[in-house]
Order: sequence, then C-alpha cells, then structure tokens
Amino acid sequence: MVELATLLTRCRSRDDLAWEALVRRMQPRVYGTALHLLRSSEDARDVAQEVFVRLYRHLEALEFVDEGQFVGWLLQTTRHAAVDRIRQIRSRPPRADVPAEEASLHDPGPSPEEASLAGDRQALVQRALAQLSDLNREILVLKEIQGLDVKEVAEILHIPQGTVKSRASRARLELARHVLALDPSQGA
Amino acid sequence: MDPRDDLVASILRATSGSPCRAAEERLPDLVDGALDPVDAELVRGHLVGCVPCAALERALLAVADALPAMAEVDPGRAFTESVLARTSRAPRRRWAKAFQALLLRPRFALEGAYLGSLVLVGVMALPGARALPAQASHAVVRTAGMLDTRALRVFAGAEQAAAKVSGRAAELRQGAEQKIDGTLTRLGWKDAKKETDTKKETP
Repeated sequence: MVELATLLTRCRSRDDLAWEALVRRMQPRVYGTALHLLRSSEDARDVAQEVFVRLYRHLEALEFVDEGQFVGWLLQTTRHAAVDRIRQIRSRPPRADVPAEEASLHDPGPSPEEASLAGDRQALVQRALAQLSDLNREILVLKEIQGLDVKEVAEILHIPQGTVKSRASRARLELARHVLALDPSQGA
Repeated sequence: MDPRDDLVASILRATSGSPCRAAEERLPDLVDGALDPVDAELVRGHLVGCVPCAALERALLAVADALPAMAEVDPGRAFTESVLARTSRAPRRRWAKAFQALLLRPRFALEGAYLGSLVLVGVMALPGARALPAQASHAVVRTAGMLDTRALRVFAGAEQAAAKVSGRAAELRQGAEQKIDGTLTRLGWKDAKKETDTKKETP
C-alpha cells in the first residue's frame, strides 16, 4: 500500500490517480465520523463529500508533519462540517405534518448503515450512541472510535485535556448503561 | 444471595452508603487496565458481590470491543464517483487547451489587430469620446497623420521602384530584339522570314 505521505505529495502535484486512491482510503473514516455525529446517512454523505472538496481545494496550502496530523485535520474538518450541518438542520422550520416536539435528529429505527455494520453489537452501540449528549458523543467518536489522543481531541473540540479525560470516562459509562437498557443480555 | 453479602450490604447501608458509585467511577480504568493494583483488587472484590456493577462492567467491555471497529463505514461506490466528479479538473483542462489553441493560431495576431482597430474606431465614434482630454485627441490625430504620411511615402517609393523595373524591362526587350534581328540578317534568314510573313498576310 502506498504511504499516505507519498499519496499527499502526488496529490499536490495534481496526480488524479493518487487523489482517487486518497479518497478511497480516507472516505470510510470521514464518512463514519460524519455518520456517528449526524445519524443520517444522507447528511453524512453530503458532509463527507464537502470535506473532500475542501481538502482538494486546499491541497497546496496544507502542510502536514505526519500522518496523524493529516488524519486529525481531516476529522476536525469533518466535525466542523457536521456541526454546521446540525445547526442548519435545527434552524429549519419543522415540517407542517410533524409536531415540533417530535422533530429531532434522533432516528428510532436502525438505518441501512446500522444494518450493514459488522455485527449486532455494533448496531446496538450505534443506537446507544445516538442517545448521548452532543459533546459526549463527539468525544467518544473522536477518542474511542477514531483513536485520537486526548490532546488531539482537546484541540479539535477546544476544551481542556482534563475535561476530555473525565468526560470520556463518564460518556463510556453512560453508553454502557444505554446498551444495557436496550439489550440487558449484554450484561449477562 | 450469600448471607455474608447481605450482612455487608446492611452494614454499608447503615454506615458509608452504597459503594457502587465509587466502583462505577473506576470501571472504565479497570476495563482499560489503567487502574493501580490496589484499586483494581478493590473494584474486583465489589464486582463479585454486586450484580448491577458486574453487568455494567460486561457492557463496558462490549462497548470497548465495538467502538474501534466502528471507525470506518463504507459509504458505497457511488460516493467515490461523486467526490471525483466534484473535484475533477477535466473541464478546466479542456478550456485551457482550447484557449491555448486559439492563441497559437497563425492568424491570431492579425485578427487581434483588426479587432483592436474596430474597438478604437468604436470608442472614437462614441459621444463620450469628445470628452477625451485634448492632449490625448491631439496625440491620436498626430499618430494617425504620421502613419498616413509614412504610408504615402511607402506607396510613392513602391511606384518609383515599379517604374524603374518597367523601364529596365523595356530596354532589355529592345536590346534583345535588335540582337535577334542582327543575327537573322547575318544568317540570311530575315528576307525569307519577310517573304513568308508577306504570303501569310496576302489573302
């Protein structure tokens, strides 16, 4: 597999094949992050596409010391785009046939992506994740799912590292409780 | 339930209260293996006798197992195609090529000069052109006059050159004819040629 640094160098010199390879390699992570934050496959696709278009436009101007920094930038951009999309959705007036209190981002049923997740447990965790607060979900998506370290998460979310640590532990406990509530057999 | 556990629970209720909260706080670190040995042993001791906390620990283990595997979700083949379509440089390249081909056409300079002249004439014909500074107008007239004089000189020179060439050609032709006549007379062919010409003219 071609190294990410090589791909980026080739992309900067406008090698179309390298760009395609970069999109194929990074799209599952970008789309996965957007999907966990937005919980809508359609919005996640739009956001992920927007992230890649931004990356393409700024390829020459962006300098990355290592692969981790590039992934961090990509996930930070995804998170920003997802937050913008959430604000956009919330500012939309609710549809006439849906009561305002029912108009929320929460999707009670499993989406096609949930169904395609590797196993039932992942689908279950995905549903439990949707019940967390925005900040707790963001911390878990970036730290536990995408594997960023505390410092990187703190930089992306603009919160102190101590807050990330304490929030991450509490968020995991909260998630585990939701999992148990959805499927008590997970505690057996 | 073990009677000893029941006794412990009664004592705790009467003294410090439930230790579940303290155990829960340490569970994530226990699952990560980041708890110091003493705390780890204390929490494990609690889990032996506490069913809800033990269930929570198993759920935490399940979550820790599932989360990293959720990092990548395939958006489908159509996604890559749409990203590549939105970031494709092909249309720009085609435009650049067409523009380059236009510039490289041999007649481009001539067409450009023609268009420039048309624009200049158009601008001069506009009502606002009167508002041009007098100096600029004079400069334009002076330049036009100079160009006109120079063109007239070029034409006059060309006419003189053509006249010279024409006079020289006549001289050459006359000289050639005299030489031919002399040669024919010397050879005695000239009288015979005259007779032939007379016969041809007689009906």
